[in-house]
Amino acid sequence: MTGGRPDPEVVAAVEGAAALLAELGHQVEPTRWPVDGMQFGRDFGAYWASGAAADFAAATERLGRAPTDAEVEPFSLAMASRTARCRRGRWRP
Amino acid sequence: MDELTWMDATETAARVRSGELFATEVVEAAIGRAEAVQPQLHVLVSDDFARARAKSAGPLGDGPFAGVPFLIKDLDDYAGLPTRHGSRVHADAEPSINQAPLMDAYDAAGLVVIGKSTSPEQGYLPTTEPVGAPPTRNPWDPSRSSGGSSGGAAAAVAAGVVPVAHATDGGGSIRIPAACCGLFGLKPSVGRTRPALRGRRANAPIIIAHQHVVSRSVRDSAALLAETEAQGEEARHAPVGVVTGPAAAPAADRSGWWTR
Repeated sequence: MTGGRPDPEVVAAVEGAAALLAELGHQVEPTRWPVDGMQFGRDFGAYWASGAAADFAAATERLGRAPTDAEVEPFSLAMASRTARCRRGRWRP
Repeated sequence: MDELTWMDATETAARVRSGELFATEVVEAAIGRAEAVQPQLHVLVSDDFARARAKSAGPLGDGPFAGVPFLIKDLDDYAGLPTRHGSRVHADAEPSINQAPLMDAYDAAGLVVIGKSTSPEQGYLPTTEPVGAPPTRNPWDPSRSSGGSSGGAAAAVAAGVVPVAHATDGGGSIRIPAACCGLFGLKPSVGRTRPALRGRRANAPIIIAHQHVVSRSVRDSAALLAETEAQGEEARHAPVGVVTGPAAAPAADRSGWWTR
């Protein structure tokens, strides 16, 4: 998706599945990943981080204060703060 | 009872139905196995052994998986058990009072929940090593990761605790631990299974939490998918029912593939 080549076993499995489908009468053809993989990765990261921000907000409400790094893990905190830096649909990482 | 450590849910249910196995002994074996592997593999967050024993004593109902032990991933509510989300913030969570329709479907299928399985915090990482708990280890090689985020589910199934376990996938969380633990992990389309999210999560603008199971056999995942498919007004996709083999190609079907 981001330009890396899969392992030979994976290539063989995908080709085998495509051949089986074709044998069963499906119309199967080689194509290209229809989206920009790097952009997809950034968008997915933004979406994933927004979940951590929502969790952070919910935890803040539940505790009556912001959770500390003794309560929320560094990865989750980093994602929540990444979302807090997002304004008007643009990332400022 | 060693054969229960490799038998799939379909076979286990058939043997319970035929009277060859008692549900009480199947559930007792799962509890014993869970207790045996827990110190090393850490697959459970909480146990539901007392209710599981009572349920296995009957009546079992007529669900297709009656008497088969099962685990719920700890990101979702199951009535009577706390939901800790793999997080220290929720370490003192009270038992849930309610549960979503997907959990009702598992109950109706006759599955006997023996506990909740581990997850990394909120399921964010593809390995199951929350800071506040021991890591969930891979039964094939405990020096390695079970994968995640459905790591407890996958490690428990691979270790022979339960034949099949609830799992969820937003970015690989069914597929990754299934691959790490040598299991089958199907990620259905979102909305294929009965509604699972409750509260603020159900109202998120984009939902990519796909719900299903990790299993020891393709037929278990297929049968359980049919059993838990959204129907009627709940359904976002036309139900497919039980898939038992490759389907004939629909007229308008067209597939693309690529490997780079």
